[in-house]
Amino acid sequence: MAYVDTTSSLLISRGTKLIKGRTSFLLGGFFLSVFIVLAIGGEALAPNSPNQIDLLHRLSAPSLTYPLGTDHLGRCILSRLMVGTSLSLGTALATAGLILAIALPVGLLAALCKGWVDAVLMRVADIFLAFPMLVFALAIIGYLGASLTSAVVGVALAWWPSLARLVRTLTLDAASKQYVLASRQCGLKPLTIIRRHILPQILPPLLVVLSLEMAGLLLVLSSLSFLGLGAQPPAAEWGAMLNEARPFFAERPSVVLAPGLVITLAVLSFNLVGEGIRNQLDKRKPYQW
Amino acid sequence: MTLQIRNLSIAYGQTQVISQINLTLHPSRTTGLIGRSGCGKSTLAKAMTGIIQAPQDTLFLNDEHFLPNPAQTGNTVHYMWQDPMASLSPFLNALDLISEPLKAIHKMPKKARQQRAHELLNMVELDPTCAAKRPHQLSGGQCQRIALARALAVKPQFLVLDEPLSALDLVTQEQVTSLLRKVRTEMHMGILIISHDLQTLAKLADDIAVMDGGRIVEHKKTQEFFAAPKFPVSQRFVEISKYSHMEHSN
Ligand SMILES: Nc1ncnc2c1ncn2[C@@H]1O[C@H](COP(=O)(O)OP(=O)(O)OP(=O)(O)O)[C@@H](O)[C@H]1O
Ligand SMILES: [Mg+2]
Repeated sequence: MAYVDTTSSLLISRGTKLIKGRTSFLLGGFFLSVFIVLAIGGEALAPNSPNQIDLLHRLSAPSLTYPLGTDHLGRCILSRLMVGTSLSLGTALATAGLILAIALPVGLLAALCKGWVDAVLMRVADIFLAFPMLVFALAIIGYLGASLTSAVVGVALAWWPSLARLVRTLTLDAASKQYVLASRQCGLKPLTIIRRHILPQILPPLLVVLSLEMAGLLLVLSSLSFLGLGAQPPAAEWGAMLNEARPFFAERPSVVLAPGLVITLAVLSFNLVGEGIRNQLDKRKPYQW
Repeated sequence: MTLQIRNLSIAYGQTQVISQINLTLHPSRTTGLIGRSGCGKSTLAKAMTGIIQAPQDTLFLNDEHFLPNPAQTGNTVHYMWQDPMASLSPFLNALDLISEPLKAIHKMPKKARQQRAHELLNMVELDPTCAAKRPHQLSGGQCQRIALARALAVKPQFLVLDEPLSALDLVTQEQVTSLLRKVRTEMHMGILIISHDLQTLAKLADDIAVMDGGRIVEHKKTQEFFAAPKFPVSQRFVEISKYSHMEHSN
């Protein structure tokens, strides 16, 4: 009997194999999927309407009707957090997309055109990099006026140069491969070569970096909202909630702690997933593309 | 139409790798290039196909100046790389790899492309099951034949093959050799074939050039070459391949 694996022990060994070395990835993935569910169905799942003001119960302690209590206007904090997921994560994703949309063409152009194109683009990137990121974002927000859109644009404009440099380095390496040269000999147009032979090489590492950057983006965007420069009240956005709750911290700490904790959790899960993907990629054997 | 190399010298940094090479390729004719490892064969092949830049006034197509550039002249002079695995994209399967030049250069529609790619696979003696496999799932010799099939798909006027048979067993070598003989006449290609193996060249080449220390030291009709190799390197090569000399008298 001792030699025979019972079904349950088999399941357990399968389970541990699956989890081994991936705990952080799975944990991050779990939190992230919760956030994704909330981002999609937050409105439907929320116990209360996020903007419903109940002045009789302002700053109340957690109760059955208000599981996490209420804010200074008597709005349900849990509902606002849940509904705010889509806006908070959505802006972070949009910013990441915008950054990629700038950095990818710039980096590709610089690496593939070489010469003066490369020199000009990289000097421009250097100029952008020379400013402290937040200061630069603030300047742009100051120019465009405080709103969520200008926060996204400002952060993206401050953030793209470092990613563009990474794209350039990855592309230089990718384009020097023999098979890229060989496919040029086969008459492939530059765009086709980029699509078929260069992007497949550079996108996986880029996405890992970007998933790690998502955490930073979430923080910066929340900070901007916290400073009153991003999402404007009454929008339910985590950073903006933090900002609105600031004066009432002494009265009821949970008003500030709840959104703070959610932001921390989201940042953590992005970090864990990013690290997990990177670990997975690092483990691949040579020739196992 | 001829491809002429006149006084071509190439240096990597300070070290001169090939010097004052003169060589002419003719359509429907195969030239063999033999030489010891590191004597500069691949460098010559890359220079004449534009993989590395040749100095001006060294290459002539029909007596006109010719500056090869992989992106534009890949179907005039085409280089098949010495390392087939590295020259095949790991993201594509064999069929797509062979289809690439058919689409990009010959603008074939999808149906015709697929059919031609299968034909080419068949021509290089590859199993149809290889069609859906990617380079890392194939053996070195299979990759080599896919690279050859792709080069044939390009159908260049002049084809430069860098050790195209090195990873093949003798039977497959024999089959690919006869394929190349057929290709030369049917497609009117001028072929330069680089090899360490004189026996292969004996079967394929109309004339044989021997390289040593970056120079072409001897260049003769194949039969004359085997009858009277002049230089010490040539003599050594002929001597070593004598075990099967019977086959050389073709
Ligand atoms: N990129 C390079 N930079 C510097 N030196 C090089 C470079 N490529 C080749 N060489 C040198 O040039 C010489 C000729 O190399 P080449 O690849 O042409 O030899 P080969 O005749 O093709 O040899 P093999 O038969 O082993 O393929 C060698 O001594 C090599 O070390
Ligand atoms: Mg070589």
